[in-house]
Amino acid sequence: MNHNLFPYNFEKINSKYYLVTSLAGDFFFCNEQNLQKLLNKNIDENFSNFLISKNFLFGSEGDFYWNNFKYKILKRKILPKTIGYYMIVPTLRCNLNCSYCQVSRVDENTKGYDWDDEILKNFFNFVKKNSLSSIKVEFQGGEPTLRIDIIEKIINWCEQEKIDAEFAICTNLINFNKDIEKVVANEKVHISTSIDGSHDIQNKQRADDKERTSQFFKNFDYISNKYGIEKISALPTFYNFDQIKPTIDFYYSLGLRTIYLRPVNFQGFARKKHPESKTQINTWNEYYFEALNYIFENNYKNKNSFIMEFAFATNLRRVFQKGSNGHLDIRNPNFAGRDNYIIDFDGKLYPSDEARMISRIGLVDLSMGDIVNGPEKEKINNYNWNQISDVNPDCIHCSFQPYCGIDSVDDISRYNRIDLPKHKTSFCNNHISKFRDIFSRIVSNDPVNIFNLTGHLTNIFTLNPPFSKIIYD
Amino acid sequence: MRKTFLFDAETEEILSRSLIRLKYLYPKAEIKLENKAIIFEGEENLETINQEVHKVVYSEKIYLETLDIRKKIFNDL
Repeated sequence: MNHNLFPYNFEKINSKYYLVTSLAGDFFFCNEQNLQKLLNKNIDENFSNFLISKNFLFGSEGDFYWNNFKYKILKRKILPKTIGYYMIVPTLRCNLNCSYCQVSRVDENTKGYDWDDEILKNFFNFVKKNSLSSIKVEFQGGEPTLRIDIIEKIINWCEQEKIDAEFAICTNLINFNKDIEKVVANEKVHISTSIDGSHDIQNKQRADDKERTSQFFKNFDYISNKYGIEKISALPTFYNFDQIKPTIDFYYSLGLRTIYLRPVNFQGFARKKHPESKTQINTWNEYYFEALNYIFENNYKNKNSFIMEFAFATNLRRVFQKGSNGHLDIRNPNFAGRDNYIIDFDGKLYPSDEARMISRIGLVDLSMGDIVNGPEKEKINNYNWNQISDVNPDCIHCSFQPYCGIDSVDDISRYNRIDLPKHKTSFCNNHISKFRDIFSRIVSNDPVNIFNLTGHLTNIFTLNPPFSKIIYD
Repeated sequence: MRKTFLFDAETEEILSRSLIRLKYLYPKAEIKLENKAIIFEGEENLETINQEVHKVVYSEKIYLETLDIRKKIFNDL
């Protein structure tokens, strides 16, 4: 077989090994001597067989290896052609006033910030026109349970129309009355809430009222005891990074299975009270990796009580599971208006919640039509040209490009422009660190890492690695 | 710090493209191409620069050598 190499990149991963990744996302590790052989195309039979097994070589255009490579690229890039995910904001009103609220909110008693019947009717028409028979709907806010009547109407409509739908209500769980429970009891409804830490931290950062905080935990316990812990997912927000480990411990004690470690999001109104969140990515990542080690060691020690870190699991799936293209924060291309929409309280359409945030603060208008008149196709097309990393001069030389994503909204939010060199952006620094960490763990052959890599990838924590031979010595 | 990196075996095109990228990555440094050598003059750490220059040159080499394949694959998708 002739030695035709597919496009690839390389990266020094530790003192001993280089990571080599193909454009299709296959990878292996080798020492500097073997990297030189690869660069100079000095490939002997042994090396050639290894490279064929890793899909780095092909014989001729159109052969099995060529088509296999092409299929993998396609799988990594393809997005659904119908809308399968709706994030809707039935009201912007909220009964809390958290310091890092991303999207602004208005007081619980303010008028004019709720969906009306016209928006609801148009939403139903929009779903009929743009979706197939299976959708997910996430109710955001404000506090969406203040309009539990709208949530109930949408769920009932989906059932009537025989749409296979799943629902997530993102609620602060301060109020949990009978009307809300009637909706939540539906097995297709899940609860997503915010838990920043123990009672004291939660009180300080969220409710600022001991009685309300007690009520929150009472409601959390009630739902998890009655419907099972799987009914609820929770996520914290950190601005004091010393609180990360105690919060992880608290999540273990609550029996939660997932934690999403993230700092305050700069993209919305939180930037006013937490301006440091614009540039703190390197500091955050130091704490993040320390926290990840803490989770990994605890999982390994406990052996029967595991927590998965959401960002790690998401990035890991991008490496190993071709077609994990559903997470808007990390996918390429990241086209707007293809498979999801955010529909705000006033019926405006947005490509992501972050786009809604920076539009609300007046930085740029990233609304892309509205529920009555439909999407603005020209605006969407213009936006989408910048949502492809395959033509970016920085990304094309990056070893992590097959797995990474692209997010113009994050760049606009921090720098007011999208053409900054990628290595100077928070998005790039964040993801390069995270992918480098993943591959360092993969090549480490350390049992704690293998145990957690397998667990985060398959939900089954074992010492069997989820990959075959990955080092060419 | 002034350092010369010799790339005998690489083409002018690879080295010219590498020069552009290095200037973009290190705008404060003086970087030039003389014959088949990249000459780097700047404040950066020698080990980092050594790694970066080689990485840039070999990345450009891989890119140019596989560009036709890249184009064919993307045209086919």
